[in-house]
Amino acid sequence: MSKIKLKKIDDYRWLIPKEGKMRTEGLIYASEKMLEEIEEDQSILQVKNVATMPGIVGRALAMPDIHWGYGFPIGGVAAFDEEEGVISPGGVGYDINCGVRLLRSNLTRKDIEGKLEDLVDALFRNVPSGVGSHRKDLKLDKTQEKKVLLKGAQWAVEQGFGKWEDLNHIEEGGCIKGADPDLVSEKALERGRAQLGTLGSGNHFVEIGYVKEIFDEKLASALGLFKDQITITIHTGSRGLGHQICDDFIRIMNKAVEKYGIELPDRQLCCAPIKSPEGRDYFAAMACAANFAFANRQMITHWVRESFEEVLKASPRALGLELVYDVCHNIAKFEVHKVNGKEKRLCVHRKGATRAFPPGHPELPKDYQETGQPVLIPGDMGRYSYVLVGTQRAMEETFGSTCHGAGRVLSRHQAKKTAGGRSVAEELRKRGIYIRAASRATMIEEVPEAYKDVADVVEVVHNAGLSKKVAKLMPLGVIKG
Amino acid sequence: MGFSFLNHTADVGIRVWAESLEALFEESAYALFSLITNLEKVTPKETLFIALEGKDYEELLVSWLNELLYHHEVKNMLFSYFKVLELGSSFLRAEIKGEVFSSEKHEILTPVKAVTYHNLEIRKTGKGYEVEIILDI
Repeated sequence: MSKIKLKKIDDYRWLIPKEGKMRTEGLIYASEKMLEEIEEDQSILQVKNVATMPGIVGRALAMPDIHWGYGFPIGGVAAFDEEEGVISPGGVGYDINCGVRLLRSNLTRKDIEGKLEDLVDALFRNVPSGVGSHRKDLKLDKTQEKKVLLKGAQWAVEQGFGKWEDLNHIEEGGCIKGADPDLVSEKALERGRAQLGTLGSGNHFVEIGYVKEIFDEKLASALGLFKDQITITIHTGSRGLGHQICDDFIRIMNKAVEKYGIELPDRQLCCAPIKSPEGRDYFAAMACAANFAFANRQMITHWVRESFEEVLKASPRALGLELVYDVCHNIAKFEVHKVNGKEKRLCVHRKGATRAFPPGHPELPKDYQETGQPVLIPGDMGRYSYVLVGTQRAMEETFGSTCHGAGRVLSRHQAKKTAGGRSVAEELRKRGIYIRAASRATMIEEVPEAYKDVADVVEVVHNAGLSKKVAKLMPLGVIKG
Repeated sequence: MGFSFLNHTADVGIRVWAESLEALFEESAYALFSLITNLEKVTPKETLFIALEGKDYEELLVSWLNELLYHHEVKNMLFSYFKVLELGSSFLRAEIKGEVFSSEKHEILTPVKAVTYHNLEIRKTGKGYEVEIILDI
């Protein structure tokens, strides 16, 4: 494959000039050093492919955690004109509304000394992880499930999972409007029914950590964060329901591409005009999966709180396990953005990218009006994670988007080769991290050196002005699927 | 007939080759499940019949593999036997065998979220057919 020529704009911005069938330029946010790694696979070509799609507005964007995906690159952001643009299931991904939620607490590291293992064991018991596991006390019929798809985290709160106040600190209030459960296939419903309130496997996790470093005192305190504070991060998505909806609609979109005469360089980019029946139906079904994921994280939050109450024998008030925020990183959403000075409603696809709205944005709750939207960037299981906030610059350049995580550097196969014979749990333990995983094999695939250093990724978005660093979190205990 | 795994950073790719299209579909399924678990430990004791429609062989192949993932998930089963009974350019009928997952007997090696259409193309070769399939992990 011939190398694609990039034009350097500054230390963190690299332009892919418009050529061939591209309708717009591509822009990659990365440091020079990261670019070398990025150039090794096909992810830059994938940004170029996205730039050929009908109705794309502004540039086809890639965040510094970009890596080779299928169709769209992971770490990709693309906005489409509501009238002339398309919507694409491949631009969201199979794990619709995979996302991250952060809880803060009134606890410090000292408060859980000697209790960490009990806490992790309780989480492992109470939050179903790994293939086929689910809560015995949770039975969902189809009518109930459709309510979940319609109402998202609100449904969970109505059922007693958490509090109404939690909803204020979830993107979209934990419910994307326009969901239509009747557009979800029987198969998807069936997959979802057994999997609501489960963590899943792969890179999904619940992590107990602590605030290691504060970069901005004022912002941190506005987000309720302080040094040595215990935090909990939850990373999961819409499980088999989302995978099935994506697969169902890719098949529909494959037909739509022919019907509407859309020319594409890769079948996985298949899409339909936003206002076509296929486009509308996809959005309404995708919203169902997104709402399922919001409900999922809400239920897990409730079991995290219960686990802490059980082990530490403390009241909810004493523990103070409050939501800092909940972000989606695989999603398509209708948002208003300024294009050439004019406000326009766009369909913004974020596949492995996080919304990062600036201070004063009307979508943000009152208590984050001055700070900007909290952005949660998890690292790999042995390293740190970051809390950032959105900026005006992100609003102007990236449709209010930033990175979503570390991004892999080793394939799973390579990870197995490097770490296959090692005891990853033992290695982490020596570094003070206690891990419980349903599968030893997944733990090996997720070994820290398989990932980019998330600090490098965060440094780029911070220095490029797409978001602002607030705090760094260190892991203490992790449960994985 | 055979398969190998490809290096793909975030996800996993499988290259599959076989003498006939039927064998290509069977071998692809075998490759998929040998990624998920050690198939030597999966006894083919329960049988399921699969019938699918699609607009071409590529779509049928992805639908077939995703159908297997669907049954794997909702029935909590692992499969180790795959037999294509009938295959046309728009339909497929097959028989699969496996057993219910048991954490004492089986280990999940790599959980797979979905099979993608990324750059998917079934190619005719001198000896039969080959295809590269990218999975979402």
